[in-house]
Amino acid sequence: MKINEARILVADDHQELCAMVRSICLREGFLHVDSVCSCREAEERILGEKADFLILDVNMPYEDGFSFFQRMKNELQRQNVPVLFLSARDQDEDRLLGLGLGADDYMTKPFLPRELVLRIQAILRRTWRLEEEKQVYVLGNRQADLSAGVVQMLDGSGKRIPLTNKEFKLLKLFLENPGRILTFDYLSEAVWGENYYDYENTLMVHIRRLREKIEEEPSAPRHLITVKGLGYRMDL
Amino acid sequence: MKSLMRIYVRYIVTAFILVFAFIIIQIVILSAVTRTVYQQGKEEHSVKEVYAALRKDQKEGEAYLREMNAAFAMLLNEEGCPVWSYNLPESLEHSYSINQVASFSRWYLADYPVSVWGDEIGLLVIGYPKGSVWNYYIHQDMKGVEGVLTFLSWSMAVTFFGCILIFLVCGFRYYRRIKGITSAIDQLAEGGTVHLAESKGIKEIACSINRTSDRLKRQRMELERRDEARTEWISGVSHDIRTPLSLILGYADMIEGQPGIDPDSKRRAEGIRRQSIRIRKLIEDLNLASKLEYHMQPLRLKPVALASVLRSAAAEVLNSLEKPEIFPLQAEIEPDFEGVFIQGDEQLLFRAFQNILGNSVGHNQQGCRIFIRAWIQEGRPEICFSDEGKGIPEDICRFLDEGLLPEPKVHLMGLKIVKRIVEGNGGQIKTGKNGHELFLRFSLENFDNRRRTER
Repeated sequence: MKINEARILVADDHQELCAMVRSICLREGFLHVDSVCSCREAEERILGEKADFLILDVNMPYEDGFSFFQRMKNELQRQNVPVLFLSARDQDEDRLLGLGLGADDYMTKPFLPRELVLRIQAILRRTWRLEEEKQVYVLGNRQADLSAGVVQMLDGSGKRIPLTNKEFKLLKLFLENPGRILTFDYLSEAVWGENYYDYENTLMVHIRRLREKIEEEPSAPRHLITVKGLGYRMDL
Repeated sequence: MKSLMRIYVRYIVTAFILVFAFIIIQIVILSAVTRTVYQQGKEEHSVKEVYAALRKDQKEGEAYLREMNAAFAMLLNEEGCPVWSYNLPESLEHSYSINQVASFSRWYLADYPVSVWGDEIGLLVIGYPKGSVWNYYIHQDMKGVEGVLTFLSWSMAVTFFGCILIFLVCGFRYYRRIKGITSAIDQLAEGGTVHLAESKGIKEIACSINRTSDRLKRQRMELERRDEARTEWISGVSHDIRTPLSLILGYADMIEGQPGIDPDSKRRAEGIRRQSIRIRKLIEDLNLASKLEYHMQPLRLKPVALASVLRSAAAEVLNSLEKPEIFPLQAEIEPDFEGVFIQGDEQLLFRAFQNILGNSVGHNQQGCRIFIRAWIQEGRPEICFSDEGKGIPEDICRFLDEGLLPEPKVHLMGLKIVKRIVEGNGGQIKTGKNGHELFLRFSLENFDNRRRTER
């Protein structure tokens, strides 16, 4: 099944908000978006196996979203229906409670529509274990193929330069976050895990080697830019 | 409580000094009196001198007697008959038996106090006016005298140690009562409640302290209730605003992204979206500010790598900008600072750094250079944020440096949050260069120098 075929159910007592979320999802290509105003109605839809994804508000009349989720958790798991809490409750405790109960994500209102859609897509991709689309990025006279883990020359030679495990992880992070500064700490933690300290010099070595593979002139990089004192940024 | 112990020791020492001073004064007075009396006695002639004078010349002897103011005098021969006399009353002009001589030589002769001296020319008897001299004969065996002296020594020693004991006990009781009172005052100062036993001696003070404690407790509870109500109200309002704001933000974003929309409408929708995001930030700030103000934001303390948080906040601010190139940011974090950990709340510190950098961006829309420096000074981590923009207004600088609240119209929330967070994490905040620099200095207690060796 394709992501846009997922049946999305919005449960929120605020009808206008339900309508807006519905329009956002439809605009972004989702084909089936339904909304309900209470937990009871949401329960009916779920028991009738009419939803593949649930966007759930927390503060609702008669029963709040947390207790509804807790009550329906087994059924939702059985049907493999992911849940995203969309709430005005912005306290860390609420966020931790929602995620602690087993929800797939927690977003606070007000939210950016595009962010909501991206999160829904990411959760569905994860839940349905959909294969990543072939990810190919052109970087000057070469292209990075993340699915193959190689950098291919586009100068006619067709030469393929393999990436090491660490270089692949770094390049994937950069290509997934184009234009964003990724700090030394973020990159080190993502590649080496929690005890990432002391890896700054090693990180620099890996960045240098990565530049040698993706840049035409590694000494004057055009794509993988150093942001002095902070980290690196990928300009596509 | 050290000062209280000092007071106790001082009390004991003062008591001893007073007692010793009293004894010394007594000794001085006694010796002065004795000396005066001795001097007076010395000025008069003794019976021996009168006797010697009489042997030479009777007139000289009589002159001595006059000077002595003697009532009478007589010289008795071996048979007890007066052979010479001076102003001798008629009733005494007779011979005296050995028994009579033995009797008056020790005490009185017809109520006249007398003194006698005898040699080869006879026994000289000098009588003094009645009631002018006290004559008393002491006879005591040595064992008795020794007993009295032993008793006096023991008595003095026991009295002395008794005094010491009384001083110590009284002093300790005094110390204990005062200690109870000072402990209660300390507890009140720390915000606790106390209830002292209203026993004799300190009843009035105990009553006053208990009343004060009850009153403070009531006031504290009222304040807590009021603060809680205020925070809940702010939290409730901000919660209720969130859903309508979602609609404004969502629809504005949808209009902005609508294909074929005219540029004017797109610009307007973009404005609505941007302002909605600003309101969202304001709501978050308002909520956090009220919680920090009324100490309702629990600190989640753990070792925090300051350099990492600093970089993350700077990157987050730059990443959120539409034109990051107009805000060139220069971060200089010294190698020493890289290993610094403090016991702090990572999320709140991130928020504080983000607010500071966000202010540089928000108040300098045309763009400006931003600088971050971080280093260790005297073992304490320090961070300096500066920019080439407008700088922090004077009123707010005064608030940050001295805690003086500016006029209500001055917008302060962002930096107020920063100040609260920094101070809550054991740091200090200061401004410099007319508000173009902001220094954060974290305290030594919070400085976790585990550094890389442990990592």
